[in-house]
Amino acid sequence: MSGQATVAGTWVSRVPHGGSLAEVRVVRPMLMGRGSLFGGRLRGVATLDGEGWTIPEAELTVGGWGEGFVDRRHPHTYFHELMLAGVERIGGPEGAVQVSLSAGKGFVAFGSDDPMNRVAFRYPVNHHWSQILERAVLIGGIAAGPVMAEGSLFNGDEPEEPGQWPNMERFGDSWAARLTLLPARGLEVAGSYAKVHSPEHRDGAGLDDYKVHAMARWEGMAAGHPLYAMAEWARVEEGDGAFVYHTFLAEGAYELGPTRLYYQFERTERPEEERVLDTKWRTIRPHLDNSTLGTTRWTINTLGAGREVRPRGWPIQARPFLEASYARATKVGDGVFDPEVWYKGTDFWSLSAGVTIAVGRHALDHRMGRYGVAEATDTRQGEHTGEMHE
Amino acid sequence: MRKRYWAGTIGVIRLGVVAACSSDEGPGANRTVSIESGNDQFAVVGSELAPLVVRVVDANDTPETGVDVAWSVVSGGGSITPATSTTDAAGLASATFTLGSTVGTQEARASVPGADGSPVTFSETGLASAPAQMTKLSGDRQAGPVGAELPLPLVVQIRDEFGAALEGVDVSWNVVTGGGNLSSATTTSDATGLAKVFLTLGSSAGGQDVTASVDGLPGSPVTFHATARAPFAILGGGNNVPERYTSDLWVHGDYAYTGTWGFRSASGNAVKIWHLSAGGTPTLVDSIVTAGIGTVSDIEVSSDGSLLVFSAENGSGAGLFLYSLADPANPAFIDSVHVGSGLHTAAFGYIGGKRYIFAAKNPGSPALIIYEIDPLAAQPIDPVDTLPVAANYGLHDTFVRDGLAFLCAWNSGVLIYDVGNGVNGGSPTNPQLVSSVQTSGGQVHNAWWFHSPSGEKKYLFVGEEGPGTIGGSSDGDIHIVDVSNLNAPVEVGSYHLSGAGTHNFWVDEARQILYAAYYNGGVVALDISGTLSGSIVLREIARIMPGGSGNTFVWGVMLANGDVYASDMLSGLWQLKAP
Repeated sequence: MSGQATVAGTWVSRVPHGGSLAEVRVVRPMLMGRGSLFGGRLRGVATLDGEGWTIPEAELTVGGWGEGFVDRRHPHTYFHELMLAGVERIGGPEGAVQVSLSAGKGFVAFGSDDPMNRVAFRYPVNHHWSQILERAVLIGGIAAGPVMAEGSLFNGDEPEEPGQWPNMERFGDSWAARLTLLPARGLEVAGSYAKVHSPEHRDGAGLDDYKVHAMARWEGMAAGHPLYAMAEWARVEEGDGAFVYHTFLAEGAYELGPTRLYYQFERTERPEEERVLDTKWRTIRPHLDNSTLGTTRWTINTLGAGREVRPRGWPIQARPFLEASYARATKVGDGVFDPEVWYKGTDFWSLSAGVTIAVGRHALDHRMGRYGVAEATDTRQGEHTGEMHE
Repeated sequence: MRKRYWAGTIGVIRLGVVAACSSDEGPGANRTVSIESGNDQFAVVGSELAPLVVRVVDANDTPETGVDVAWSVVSGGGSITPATSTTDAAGLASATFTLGSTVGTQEARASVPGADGSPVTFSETGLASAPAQMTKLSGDRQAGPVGAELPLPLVVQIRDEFGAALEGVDVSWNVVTGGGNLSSATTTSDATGLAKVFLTLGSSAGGQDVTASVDGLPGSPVTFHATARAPFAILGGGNNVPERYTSDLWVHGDYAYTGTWGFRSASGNAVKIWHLSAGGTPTLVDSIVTAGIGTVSDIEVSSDGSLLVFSAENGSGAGLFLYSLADPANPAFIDSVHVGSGLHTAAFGYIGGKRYIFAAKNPGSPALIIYEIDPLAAQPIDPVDTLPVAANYGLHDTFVRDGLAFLCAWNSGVLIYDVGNGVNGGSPTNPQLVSSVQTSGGQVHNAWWFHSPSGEKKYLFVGEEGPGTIGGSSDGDIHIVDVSNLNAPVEVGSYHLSGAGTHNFWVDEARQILYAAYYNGGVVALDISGTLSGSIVLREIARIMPGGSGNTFVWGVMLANGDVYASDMLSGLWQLKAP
């Protein structure tokens, strides 16, 4: 068992209709449980997320959007993960091929790791391009040497509120495949493809997404200190080409003892939708139709530093951090949405400061969303790289 | 009609008897076969000839009895029976030859193995029969500028019952509608059966029909359709609502009422009131600004001009609003009802002497909500029934006519309800489903049930609203549904405009012209006269982008006072001269 929560204050220099805004919130309050039976052949993971209580109106985030929120990062559902996985090694304990079947509610085997436990505090704009989360999902996986393949069946609908479960009537209307290569110790290269039916309309009348994602991730040592680097690219096509969005993100972290320095670059396009009159932070859900107001491209540089603190005599870890982002929003293509008009400007500063408190051994280094053979591969990679987060 | 098709039409080739030499020394040696009768006959193709007869004699010229003669058809496609016949005591054998459908020479053969002269060939002549069919060969569905000659002739082909082309048949041509001129009132079919004429379009834009006829001929007359094109012209208006995006419109008398949408530099919470003049340039005279709404989603004036109704969505005050137009320049508030998540559209329906509003609630438990409207009642907007609609992007618009409500329910298609027509016992308080139809592409947004000047109520035009970017791009076709059988509507045609999608329609039923708002495609005028099937792209009469490229995104269009009014989300209200 483990748990974590972050108390953070965020100030953003520019919000809808102009002006700045600062908020202090408790975010990512989570309880995580892991267990296994039969010598690790049956594994379970559960992640309970309390953001529905702590940030029901979401978290102030430059460029953030998804699940009906905009310029804010949405709260996760209460049951963020609830997965069971059966893992078997073909040919006995020394067999070279490992297979798995995972089922439950959680992440689809697609894209990159959930940002919740990556280096930057600010959620990237590309969260919904690079991850497919909180679905009823069935994942089959096979790993042989440096190659791993996963295929997923799931429901296309995204959750609309923290208490909502996947629409089981739609289970199987969407699918994804991910191929991962592990060519060298600490290096991971993956490519994913997904067809997601009507993610934005729960009853299934919305447009389909066709998603392509590629990433490379490396963990190792540089000059005697742990180094992490990841780069990803994705393309999402909606409505048979009516809308196409791209993202590129690169991030890295360097640890000097308990201190971690990190940087993230992101350039991501997002749809602009009609907003609810009374809040400005919400888009009309469900949508009235399949139109948008336009597309914006967010270019964001984020620099941060954190430090591991283990209070003597306390079974907890604390990670205070300070993070700054500079962003520019530009209009892409046609449409009535103009960031210059909506925000009274196109450049944004964001400052966040806070502390993450964690209990449990794997609270801060858990690569969320990896099940079955992917979890086993992650463990193997961790062993290779020297458990940099421990 | 001059019936010249019997004479001078066939080049007759007389081959006569072909006698082949034989060196056979078998059983028939020294035997001779020759034509006795039946050669060189003339008859209408397909008819039975007089018997073909051959005579078989021995070397002494004595008739041979009991000799088998084999019969076969050489050319022309006819038939001959029996395949084999036997000579009688006179040495004669015969067969019956029925001509095939080929006009001209047709041949049959009689063979006696080993006999001199065998085989012998009968050469007959098939004559053209009477005209049996006239088909439209080419020239239909052309379009051109008013007053211009169409580039291709209108062509029919005359054939007989066997499909053979007939020359010399007189075909009469008549302009039925549109006032155009023909190059000739009568033309005669040529050797290939073709008769043709050129049409110069009339001076009015729209559909023009020409008939080709041959007296007494089955299938006659055939109708050719042409579309005369003429441009729109801008009379005035435009760029007159700079602070808001414009939404729907309605025109009654000398006033127009336009809604507003979303957020530009101000919210879409206003109804603009315009004074109109025949010369153009609508003049803004007043605005109704309503707190707590983000979009005026639909707007309509009652048929008697006494009431203004608009629906609103996006905001805590969204719902339905009713105003008196006793002073059309200054509407007076009567009543409103709040509807959570708002109303997408509201349409008047007049049933049993009462006035109703059919309102589309979408999204959030989408439904048709029916209100009785009586400004003098204690509750002027009185809900009388609610009809749930599948949550499939719900209900977008409703077209009400003759007691039928056509519900435009996105991917659920068009749902036809009896709300007072009587066809299924429905009423406004108890709508009864008649049928439904799913048009190709789904995303059904709006509809118009077209009543032609002749009283025909055959076609329902259905708008498809595909994915788009407001202010920039759009997608979606107009679909044509045949509702002549209300219980089994079927899609029969469509109109596609590349690079743009349709929104609201208006139909000039007297002129049979459909005006469609086409977002970034502007305003399109379509000829919807006559029979519609397949693509009607060539029926496009005119198209205009009133605000110009990059400044055009037309939401609605309406014909009133002889002019076409268009509400453009980007460039406001326009007054256009109809084609």
